[in-house]
Amino acid sequence: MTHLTDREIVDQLDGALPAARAAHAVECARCRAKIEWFQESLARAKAVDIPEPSPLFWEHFSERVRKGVADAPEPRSSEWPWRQPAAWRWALACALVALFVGAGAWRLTRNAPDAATNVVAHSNRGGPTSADDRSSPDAAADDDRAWGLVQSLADDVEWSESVPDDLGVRPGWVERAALDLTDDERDELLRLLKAEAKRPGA
Amino acid sequence: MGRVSPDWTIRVGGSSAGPAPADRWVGVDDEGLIRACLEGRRDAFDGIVERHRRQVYQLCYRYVGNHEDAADLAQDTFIRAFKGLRGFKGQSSIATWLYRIAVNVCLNRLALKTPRPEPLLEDERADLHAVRPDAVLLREERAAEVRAAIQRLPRKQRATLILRVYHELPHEEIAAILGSSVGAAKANLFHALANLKKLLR
Repeated sequence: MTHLTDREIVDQLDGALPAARAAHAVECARCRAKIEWFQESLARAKAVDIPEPSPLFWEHFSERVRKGVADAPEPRSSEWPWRQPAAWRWALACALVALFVGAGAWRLTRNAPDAATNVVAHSNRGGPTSADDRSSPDAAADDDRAWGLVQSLADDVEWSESVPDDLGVRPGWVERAALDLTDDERDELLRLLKAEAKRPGA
Repeated sequence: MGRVSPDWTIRVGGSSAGPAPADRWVGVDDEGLIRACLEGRRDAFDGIVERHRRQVYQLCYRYVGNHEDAADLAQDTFIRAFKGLRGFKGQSSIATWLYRIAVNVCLNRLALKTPRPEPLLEDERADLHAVRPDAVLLREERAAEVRAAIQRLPRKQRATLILRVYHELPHEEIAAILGSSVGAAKANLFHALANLKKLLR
């Protein structure tokens, strides 16, 4: 059986060593000697008392503490602030506000027009497409040939002209028009649009 | 002949002979005293000081080995305890909580200054030769040697030895006070006793 470890020696001094190990401590001369060695040290330490201060010292001591306490601020918590009830109430209030704001934003997003309509609306503004725009989420759609056609068709529609004739562009109309074209019509339209795009100032 | 009462009162330690501030709180337990302090009754803290000052002072004395420093450290311990009273959640006894503060105060103080030598070692020894029998003298000399040896132990070993041997705290509480594991607390005690024995040879 292995000899007692340091911690087991301490347990033995406390009288808390399990029976099997305590039996070893009795049988093993080396462990027994070690335990006796530590018991001597413990006994010497325990035998020592400290000089008792005079009774007047305690009165004086309490008075000193009383003065120190009188000068001290009100007792405060050494805990972290979020463990205090007030902090929890504020945190809960902030969380609820964030939840309402998030829910409102989600509802707005849900009721907004879909991506295709956004592209049309963007194109209706008629402004030139900058290089930066290519990095936007819409840029991927612009690379698609069908979407390019849709954008081109939308560019041809002038808002100022369409309104008097009651030709307002409504969501989905341009997409439907593009889908109604034949393959040849689409190719021709694409050729025209490319030529238009290469024109200086386009 | 009728008795004449004096028209003055005896003052001890700067206070009147009437009931000491701590006496008002004699029947109140530690929890009640803390609650009263937190409600603004600062005098309730006198009751806590009265109950625990001796143990706290002794812990500090064993740590630094002289009366002056021990008194300062014990005072500092109680003032810190008052300031952080709201942090006491009752998960341990108030005595353990005060020991924890006292140990931290002692560790911090020792990091800043070298402890004074124990006065008993030389001066008081000379007095003992003059007035006491040999057996008492020998016992006092040995006690002084042990106290001096304890002060030479590494800081955590010293704290562990003091808390375990003189204040009889369980290893779990010692570990909590020193911020270590129970195993480390036991190992500290083992090494403290071994070093003490070597120092006392």
